[in-house]
Amino acid sequence: MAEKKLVALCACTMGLAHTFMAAQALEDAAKEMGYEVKVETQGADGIQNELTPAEIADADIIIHAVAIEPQNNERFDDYEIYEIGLQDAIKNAAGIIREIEEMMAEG
Amino acid sequence: MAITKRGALTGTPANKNANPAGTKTTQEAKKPEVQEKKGLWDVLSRHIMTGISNMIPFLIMGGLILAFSQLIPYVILGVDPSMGIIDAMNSGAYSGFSITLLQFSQLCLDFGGTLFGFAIPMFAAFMANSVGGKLAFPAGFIGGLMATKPSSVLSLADGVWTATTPVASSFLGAIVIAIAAGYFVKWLNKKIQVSHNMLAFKSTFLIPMLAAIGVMLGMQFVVTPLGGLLNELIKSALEAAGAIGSYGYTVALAAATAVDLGGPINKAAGFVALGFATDRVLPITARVVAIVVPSIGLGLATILDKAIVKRHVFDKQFYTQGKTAIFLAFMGISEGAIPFLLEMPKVILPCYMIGAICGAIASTAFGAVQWFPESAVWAWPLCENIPAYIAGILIGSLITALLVIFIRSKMMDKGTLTVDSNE
Repeated sequence: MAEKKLVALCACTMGLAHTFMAAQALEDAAKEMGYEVKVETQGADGIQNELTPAEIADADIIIHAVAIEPQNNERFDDYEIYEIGLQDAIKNAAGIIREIEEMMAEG
Repeated sequence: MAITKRGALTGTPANKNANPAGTKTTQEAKKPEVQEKKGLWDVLSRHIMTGISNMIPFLIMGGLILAFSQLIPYVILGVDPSMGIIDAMNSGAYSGFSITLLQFSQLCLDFGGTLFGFAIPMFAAFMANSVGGKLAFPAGFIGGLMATKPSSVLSLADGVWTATTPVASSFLGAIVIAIAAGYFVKWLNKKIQVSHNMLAFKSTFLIPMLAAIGVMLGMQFVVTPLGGLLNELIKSALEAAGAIGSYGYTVALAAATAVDLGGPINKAAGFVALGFATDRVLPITARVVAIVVPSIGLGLATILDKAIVKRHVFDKQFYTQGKTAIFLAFMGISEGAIPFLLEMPKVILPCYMIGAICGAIASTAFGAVQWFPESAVWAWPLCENIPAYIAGILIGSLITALLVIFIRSKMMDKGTLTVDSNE
């Protein structure tokens, strides 16, 4: 089986710190768990590492760790996404991903 | 942990198709707790946060330019604080390059004021946009502008019509009108269903016109009168309460900010404080101090424990985390203090709150006034009376640090706490 794919989008209110802390935490945790991972950040420096429609369509798990309404949110309209708080992502990214896996397995 | 699953907005979720065969389809038997609907507060706070996120750059730019306009004449040139910039130029005491600097200050004052004035309209515009999409953006913008500069009210007195400007509903009014405009546009968009060739009519004429009229009437006859009244009431209540009232506010704001380090109480307190600060009713000093005090205090505790009680009172890994917490605090982030809190919440939290409250009271009492809603170190120069501000933070942090050290040390004496210091 090909590597599982996880994409995430992080955006906090100020766009200075939490966005990037959450992105780092999710990326590390997902890699650790064997995912191919890409995390888009919408911080004060604009959109970085933007997710393409193909990447979104290809993903097994889509996570939004956001405190605000993300830009270009309509990209995700056709997909199931899991919304989490930035704090949770920073504190316990691995636990969150595992919980989402369980939620998906339960269907 | 709060995980909210949002299903696809357009029928069958497409990403499930990318899953390997054998996974159950999502259509059957979804667990109710997975489908958990988000509460009203969550939804609204997301929209408010989006507005704030886009308002912040205006506050930063405006705040910085306005800071120049105060710094140059009153600090560098030593103009008497009761004197305006133009008066100072006319006073004859300044000439040559000083006059040029004063001219520049006046420019900064004008320009910065205009820039600052656009913070609330921008907030309302982006918040409405977040609720109701593109067409709600201008409706929110004009609503926000009217919240800061209300249209005049005509009244007939002694047979003469006169126009008077009502009290602005400001930040409060901007939130209300942004929600109203956003949902109004969203509702119109849904209710008015037209054929494809009429779409242009709907989106370039009908909805803009209805939205503009709605905002105009809503602001003039509902939001401005009510919001203005409320603002008047708050102001007069605060004036009546005087110094005691402002200290009460300081204590309450600091306590609410420190109590859950970025959780819901903290956020709610943040909205209230931001509203007061944007309207220049009450400064946000207590909050910005309370954000950094717990982290700096804990960081200090990891540095000072050896000197004060002659031993380590934390597990080894906390000593690096303590330094990280201080560093993060200078960036305006309070989360660095969380690991310490998780270890023994009932003991540490009171230490955080006491330190935050003392720090807030101290900085306020020394005369620090911060209007700018950011606690990171680069925002410190924007406050009035920086030494007082820093002193307040230091005092609060020291109190937190000492409390934590002594309590933990006492617990170690009693044997209720063991520390793995790996020495």
